[in-house]
Amino acid sequence: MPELGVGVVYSAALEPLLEAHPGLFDLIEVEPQTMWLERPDRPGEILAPPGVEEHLASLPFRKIIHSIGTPVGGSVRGVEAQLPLLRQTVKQLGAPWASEHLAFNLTPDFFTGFFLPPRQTEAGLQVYAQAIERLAAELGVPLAFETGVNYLRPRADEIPDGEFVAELAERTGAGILLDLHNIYANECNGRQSVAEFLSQIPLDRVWEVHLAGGLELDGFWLDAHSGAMPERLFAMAREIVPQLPNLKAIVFEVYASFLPQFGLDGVRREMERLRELWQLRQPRAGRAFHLSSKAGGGLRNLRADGVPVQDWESVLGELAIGRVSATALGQELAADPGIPLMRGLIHEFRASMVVGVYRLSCRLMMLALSPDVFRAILEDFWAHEPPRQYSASEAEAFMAYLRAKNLRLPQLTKIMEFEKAAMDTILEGKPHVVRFAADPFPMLNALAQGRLPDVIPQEGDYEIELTPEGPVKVSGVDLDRALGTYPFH
Amino acid sequence: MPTTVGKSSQTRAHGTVRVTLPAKVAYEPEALKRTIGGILGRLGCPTCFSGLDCHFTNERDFVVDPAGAIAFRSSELNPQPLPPAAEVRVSLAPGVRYNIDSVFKAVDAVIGFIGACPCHSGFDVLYQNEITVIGINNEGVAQQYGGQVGG
Repeated sequence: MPELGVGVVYSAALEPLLEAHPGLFDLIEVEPQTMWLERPDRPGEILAPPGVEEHLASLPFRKIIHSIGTPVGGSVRGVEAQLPLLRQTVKQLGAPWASEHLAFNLTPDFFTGFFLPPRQTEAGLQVYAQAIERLAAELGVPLAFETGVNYLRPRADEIPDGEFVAELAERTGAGILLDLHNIYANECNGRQSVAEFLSQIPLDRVWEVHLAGGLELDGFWLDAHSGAMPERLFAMAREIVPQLPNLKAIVFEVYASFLPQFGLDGVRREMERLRELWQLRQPRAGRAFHLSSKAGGGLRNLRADGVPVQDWESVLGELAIGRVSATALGQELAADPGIPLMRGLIHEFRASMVVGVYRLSCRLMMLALSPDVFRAILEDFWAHEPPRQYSASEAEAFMAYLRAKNLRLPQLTKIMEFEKAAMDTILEGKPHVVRFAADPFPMLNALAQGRLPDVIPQEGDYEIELTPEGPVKVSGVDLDRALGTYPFH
Repeated sequence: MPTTVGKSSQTRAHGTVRVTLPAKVAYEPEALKRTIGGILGRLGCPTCFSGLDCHFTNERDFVVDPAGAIAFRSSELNPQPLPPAAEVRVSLAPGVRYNIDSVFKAVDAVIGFIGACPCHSGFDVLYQNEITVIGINNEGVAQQYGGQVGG
């Protein structure tokens, strides 16, 4: 495999930086599922909008693939429809390898909305080894699995984190995507130390390193991808990188929703630090670090299975999305402080998906009802509906819930109709028209500015036609006025 | 304080006003100049989940002013004369706020009380925690200065 260098997980928000400083980046890491869409009325049917992959392919960097929809730390396979698309993306972008998460986000009954930790037992190893081998065969390129963050307390009935990763790498021949921020977070949160973890894994199997920043919440260090690497993590990385003889890439992760605070300059500074790390590599063919054998061997710590893999996934999934489990495992896990943390994080993700799609409708509700009341409505929705993987589906499920509740907030129905039309236009690729009995622009403009309108709208026949592409056209009103009041937000 | 919302001063527009826009602009201010990538970030599958998405918090902060007020009345900031409009401010009892049926019942009670019609701006109605003009008690009943006005 080629040595690619340093890069960043791609998001459209980073494009200005990629354009301004192309020399800082050797590669971009693409999460293909973030480039796809799902129509809410056709769950499981994945759409790949035309032109997106072509655009990515045209960027002057090497690409590697980081899948987020087919995790290999679970017993339930991801949506089958995505596999041909995933394979096609790998091929079209010329990725020399791909990676996936050693975690699960599906149960037989629902999507969890979050990567949850695998069952670290012998039975788990068998299930996940099969998942890794199957996915590698389907993608047709070498596969690495990512070391995950785990907010649960260590368990007496599980194989220690490092030994589990080592054993899985040994059984499958797969590479390791060493997410240093994840194991740093695990150490901060009371799991295995970074040093112990690294002493147990075969360092020569690490093909790729992930680095990121995090933040503290409720006594936990979160893998939030929220900004700069902690200094202690960077210092650790300086010591670790020279010990990774087969390292092919170092990738920085930053979540787009934190970019307004962190800034593209912040990303640029982190990329310069990644370049410094890259210079520390000491490639030495044939060198192998498998310190777990010096510590006594991974199999030493294989535990009696106890809780089956499927039970683990069902119970942990139920608790994480806010349900109650009356099982013994459920009662035990419910006492783990990581459960309410993950539940809260899932809720934030779900709320973020809804406000991302129905932004103006949500602003209207927050302004008119107060954020607390809007939150109470969301919480009732979360209690009744499991998460969806795609934002459009999650948002539409919330709006269906609201329609059933018949919330009689003035103008809310029309704003929802407008935003649904915008979503449907994108998803269906054909125009939609929304008709109003009064001028909608004062309301749209006010909401775009984060306030309620201060004028009473003029009655009349108004139409907004939303088209997949094309120029702005106006009839019956001054063009400048229409453009000046359109909800840029 | 008025008990009904004033009739809007409307002059019906002649003919239909039609505005045609590419839908992506609804999601991405710069979408006219850029690829669909930003829209996918809104509609598609969010990136890998093991931390925190602050998008909702950003949105909430956007509509809440630094002093914690829910919203401001633009009339207080705008020196221009505004059309006459009634204003109702509503306070929700904590017990109502966290009981979803009471929340919906309270919203209905207030909307019914002020006489919502499709033509007024509607946002003469301003629910605000700090200002008690109409109060929604723990039973979801709307009250005005101690007198029941809806429920």
